[in-house]
Amino acid sequence: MDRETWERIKQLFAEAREREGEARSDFLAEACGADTEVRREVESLLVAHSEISDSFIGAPAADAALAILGQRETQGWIGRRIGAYRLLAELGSGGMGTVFLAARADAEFERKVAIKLIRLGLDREEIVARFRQERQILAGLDHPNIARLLDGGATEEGLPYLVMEHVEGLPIDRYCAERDLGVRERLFLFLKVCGAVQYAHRNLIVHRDLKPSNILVTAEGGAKLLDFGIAKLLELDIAEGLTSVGERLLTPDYASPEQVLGEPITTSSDVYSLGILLYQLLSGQPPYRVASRSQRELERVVCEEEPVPPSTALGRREAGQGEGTGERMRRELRGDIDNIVMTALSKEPARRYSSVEQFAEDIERHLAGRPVLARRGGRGYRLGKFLRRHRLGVSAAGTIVLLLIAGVVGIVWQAGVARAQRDLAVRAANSMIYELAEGLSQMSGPTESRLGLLTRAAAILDEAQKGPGSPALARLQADSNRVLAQTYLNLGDLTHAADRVRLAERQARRLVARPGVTLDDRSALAGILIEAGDVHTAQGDVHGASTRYDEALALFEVIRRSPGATIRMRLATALALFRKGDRVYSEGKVAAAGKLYQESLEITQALARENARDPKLAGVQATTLERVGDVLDAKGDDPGACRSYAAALAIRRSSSLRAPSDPSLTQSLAIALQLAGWCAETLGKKEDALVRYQESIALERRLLAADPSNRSLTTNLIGGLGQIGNVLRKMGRFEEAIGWYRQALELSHKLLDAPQRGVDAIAQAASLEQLLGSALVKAGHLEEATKHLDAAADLNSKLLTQDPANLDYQRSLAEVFAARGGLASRGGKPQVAESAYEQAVAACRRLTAGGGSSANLQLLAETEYRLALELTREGKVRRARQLLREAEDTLLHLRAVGQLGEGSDGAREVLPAVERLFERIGR
Amino acid sequence: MSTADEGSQDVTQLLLEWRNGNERALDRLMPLVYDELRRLAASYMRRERPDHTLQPTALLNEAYLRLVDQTRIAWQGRAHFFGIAAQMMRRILLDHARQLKAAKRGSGGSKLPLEAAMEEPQRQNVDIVALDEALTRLEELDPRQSRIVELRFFAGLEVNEVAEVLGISRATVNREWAVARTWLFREISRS
Repeated sequence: MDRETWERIKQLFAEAREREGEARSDFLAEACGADTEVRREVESLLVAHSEISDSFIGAPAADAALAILGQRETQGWIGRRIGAYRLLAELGSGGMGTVFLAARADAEFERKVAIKLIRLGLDREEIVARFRQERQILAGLDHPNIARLLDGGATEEGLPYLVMEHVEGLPIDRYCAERDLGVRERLFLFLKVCGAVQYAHRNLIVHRDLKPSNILVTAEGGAKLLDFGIAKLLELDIAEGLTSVGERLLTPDYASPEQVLGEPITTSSDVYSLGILLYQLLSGQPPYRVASRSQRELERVVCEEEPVPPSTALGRREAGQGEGTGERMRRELRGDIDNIVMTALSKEPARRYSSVEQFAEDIERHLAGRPVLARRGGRGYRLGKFLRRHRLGVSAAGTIVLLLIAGVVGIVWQAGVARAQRDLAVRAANSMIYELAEGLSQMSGPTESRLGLLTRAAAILDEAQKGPGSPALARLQADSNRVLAQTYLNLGDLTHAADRVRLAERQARRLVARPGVTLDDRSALAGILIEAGDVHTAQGDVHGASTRYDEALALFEVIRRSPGATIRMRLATALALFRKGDRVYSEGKVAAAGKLYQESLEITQALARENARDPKLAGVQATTLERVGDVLDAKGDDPGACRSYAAALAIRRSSSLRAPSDPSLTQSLAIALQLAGWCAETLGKKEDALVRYQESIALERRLLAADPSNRSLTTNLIGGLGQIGNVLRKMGRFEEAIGWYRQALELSHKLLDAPQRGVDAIAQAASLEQLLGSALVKAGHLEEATKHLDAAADLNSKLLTQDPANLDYQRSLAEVFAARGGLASRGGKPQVAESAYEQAVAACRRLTAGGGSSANLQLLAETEYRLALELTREGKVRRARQLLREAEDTLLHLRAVGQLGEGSDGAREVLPAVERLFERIGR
Repeated sequence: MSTADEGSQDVTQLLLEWRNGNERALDRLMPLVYDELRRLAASYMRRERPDHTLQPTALLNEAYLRLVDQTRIAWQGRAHFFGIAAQMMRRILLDHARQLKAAKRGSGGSKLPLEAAMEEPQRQNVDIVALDEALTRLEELDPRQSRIVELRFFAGLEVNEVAEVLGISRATVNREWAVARTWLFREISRS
């Protein structure tokens, strides 16, 4: 049909439609004439038009087309080339996208890989950038049980893809079911999975999406974990992953409460997911089912519903099947396994195993027939273990302690328990607290749960020490309280530490006041006084700390020279000298501190020569060596300081080698490495220094990962990060330095936000603010610099109200104000600059009030000069002259004694600058 | 230059070339449009967009804005783009319908997961395969009518939108649509 005919047909059809019946036939007959083809066509259209229903292509099919499109699997991809690979077959598809089997297109040998084509509506640019960022980390995961991530990018159309090691295997749950594995076999397989997750966690990678389909088991029984870190890479989030078809991108069945709530995800989230996995592997069903896919229902179930223990779940499933393998399995699960799984499934991360390692170790303990850490509710396990051990030795005391724990102590007392039995109870409690204190310090785990144990132990002690007892018993009680105080202090709980040490001091003073006072009594009091000094120091009570240290030292001097002095007493003396040294050092009396450290060192060295066996000896000796190094450093004897640090590092390394899993030894080693880094830095080997510092913070991070709320660990890590920043700053790599400072400061602010912040935390934050501020100045980010310098000034002022004699704070304050003045001056704010310089000068004068070091005197002169310069610009010449005279005096004096320019490069230039300014404005 | 800019350049350039008579440009253009539409559709379905409903016109507009550099192309660019999108959606529905038929033959009528998405056209009792064949014949007879059907039925455009895209009056769109619909109905009824 030609175009013309068709146009005619359309025209006639339209016109005919306006007519009905005969009129229409007449019209058509006339219009078409002899053209029967046209007439037939129009008539047939008119018939069709009368039959057509409104629904015929009435509603658009566009929605359907787009719905299909949105869900469409990547058809037509087979055979296509992506990057260096050719797609061979589809392996499967899931929430994220489709997985293809692929092989290198250019390789002779066909090495098979799996390519995951991501079907998400992600921004192409963003995903490529993010991938580049994460690729190195993920590609670095080299573990036999982790499928390697080989490559990734975006296709021509912008679809992101990931190239992964191809694994042939069954999902772990199907593998267990098909092979009909027993409980022990399942546990061994699960341990392999834990090993892989643990490895990734050590590399700071959290899986986030652990589930059976991501864990394949090969025919040989090897486990392979897929998709490590992919969830993070794709920024998939369980809390936001709802799709319109009710599917989630991540599987909510394995998500932890924090994931469901959209809270920060940590290694603990993987612990939880592993808990669900183990639950499922052992009981054949998930711990809970999410009935509807709504967010609210999900939150309710995951965050609130308490699952039944796996053994009960298995029982329900096997119900009606009689006594069989089910019942045997159930018996195997009951007790330890139930407890282990339920600990991992705790709703609050703090109650779970603190690491996958701990989780796995508990399973190993169970498999080896040893007692496990897990108990229902997660608390008190260490205590339980202690009781188990001691029930064998001191059965009478053990029984009583058990009764105490059961909370029936009151009833027993009322029944009139014999005094001898109560003595035993106190001894047991004391010994338990020692055990506990030692155990807690060696145990890596969340501080919260350790504090819980300690409080429990303290309550038991309080119960046991009711009523009168022998002097020996009283001494034991006092000492127990000291240990409690010390442990609280180590865990960062200042309030409880103060309570306990006060109690201990009172008890010990009562002992010393009685007529038959012994060396042991005095030694106990001295030890308690040291502890009290530490607690007061941590509280920022300088005076309280000082008087206690002094009294303790006086006592120790007597004890040490007494013929009956034990190794422990001599070591305690060394420790007291050392603590006093710390105090004196922070007051700026370096030489006096050095003498105290030296005395302390002599005692420990003598003990070491005598081969004295005391577990604390090596630690005290190394720490003292480090302090001696500090003093030598302060005196400017760098080589001497470094020798001392090196000696300390050697002791730390060998101690840590002997007990590699002891966190406190690891921590000390980390500190020693920091000092070694400082030495390398001082000797001009800056790259070496960076290596040492990084070795050190790697240790710190590992420790912190096991115990995220530990304050002193955090403090040390902050220090390490700051050091790296310092080195980089000195190398002129300011932007890098700023990055490290920011990391440090972020952690530091977390400490400051904690309810029980100590003085140290403020001091650390203050110096970091200052360092970051000055690095920002160097990098030219003046506005931000101002912000941080102001923060530093505030923090230092706060510190000085608590400890006015502290020269470090005073010096920092002076420096910060001087820097602020400089910034304001550059920024064209003379008023601000003047007042900042005024404050700097005032701080410097306080700093040098008692004479002052040459460095501090130089700072004074320099700030005076700067203030004078600022005043000159504003025309306030008289005051400027006065300041210049003072600066000149100081500088001339320093030059006369040969100390001008000591410690500061720019200082030498101040004197000529002063003279030049004098020339400008006259004397 | 960033990848998105390159993409936008590509599509714009290809669109211009196609309009200037380079038929091969269309072959290169289609996959780009396809993937953009697929990505947008998927993200709408995952409720990543503030308005959770799937509005075809809005989606096509978004795709157009994302893919085409409007400073380099006259307003007809939009018409061409929508035309391509409509053709593409027609092809998607056709492929899907064919798959459904094949699947039913192969597996004794078991439901495909995508069948739910097809509920609308199924209820209309439109045989997409037959419609496609008829539409192909209509295109030979009257390309503009075929375009109108594509835009209205497959791309879901309203009458005024079709008029705007094709640069004709609404009355013309209505008139031509009525004829095309009748013609297609007759063709399908005959077969």
